[in-house]
Amino acid sequence: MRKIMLSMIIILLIFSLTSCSLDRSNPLDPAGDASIKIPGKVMGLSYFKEYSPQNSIILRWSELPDADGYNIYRAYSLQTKKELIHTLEFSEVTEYRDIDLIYSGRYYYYWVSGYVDYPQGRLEGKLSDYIIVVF
Amino acid sequence: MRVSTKLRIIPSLFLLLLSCSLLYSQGPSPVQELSNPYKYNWHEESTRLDFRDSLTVSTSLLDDYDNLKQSSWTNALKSAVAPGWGHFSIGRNTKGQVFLISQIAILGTSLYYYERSMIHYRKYRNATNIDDINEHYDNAVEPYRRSNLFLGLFFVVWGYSIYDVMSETNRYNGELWNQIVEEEISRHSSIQITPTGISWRF
Repeated sequence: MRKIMLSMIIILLIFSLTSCSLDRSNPLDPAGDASIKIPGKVMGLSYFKEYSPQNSIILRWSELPDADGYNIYRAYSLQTKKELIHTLEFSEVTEYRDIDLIYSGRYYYYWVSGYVDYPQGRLEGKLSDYIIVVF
Repeated sequence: MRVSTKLRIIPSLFLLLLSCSLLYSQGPSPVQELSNPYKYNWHEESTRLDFRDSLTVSTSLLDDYDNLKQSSWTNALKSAVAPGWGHFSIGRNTKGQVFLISQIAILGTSLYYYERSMIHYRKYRNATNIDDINEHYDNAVEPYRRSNLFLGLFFVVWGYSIYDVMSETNRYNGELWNQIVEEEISRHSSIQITPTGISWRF
């Protein structure tokens, strides 16, 4: 009887300790704060190229009504780190012209995401599907 | 007037009878008992002296035992403070080492997983992208659970070591008493077997 009690206490102790989980303490985490709404995923990302007056890539996408703005990312390959190249402060603006092109004949990968501003910070939504541009 | 005299005499008689019965029911006092040598078969002086010698030896053995025995609660406290300390105190060095190493290893593993979890958790707290928030949180949860699992295991081993040191101390005290008694017996026997050889006392 004593051994059974001891075993039960041990099992209860292990169970209670393993069931403890980490707090959702990030103020922008929707799982911790139900009032936080995640901006949707940017859809319809497309591009076209311009060669004059200077080489540039123009990106366009569909407007996100629940977003306060957009972040535009670029990388030279899928293995390299994405670089935030610009932040658009208005959700109505759904176009961006990238003129910071280094080499012609190079691959450029682009992603766009929407964000929402909260008093506790800026919450960025899911990144769009990437597009590849060969300039 | 006669009736009132009778009423006074009756309680006095009752008290007298009660005191007499109490006096007879007490029996002989402890001093009277001790002064009766036949109760302990002390018919002769030699038996009394033998009894005194035996009592002296017993007292001496108990004194030795009291000086050398260890408290199981003290050893439990030692093992609770530092793993294996209680076992080392009673000479159970192998067990002490096993408990010391296992508890350090388990606690170290728990701390390792906790630190790994906190690396991801700090990233989670600073993340602003929903994918990063979810990814870092998921990465933090698994090592945190493992850390808790090892912490639970540590407490189990810690509790068992305390339980074990208490039972081991009781066993040690039993062995100590047997050893003291055996030493006393061998000291009084004519043949002594020691590590240096066999001696015969005439």
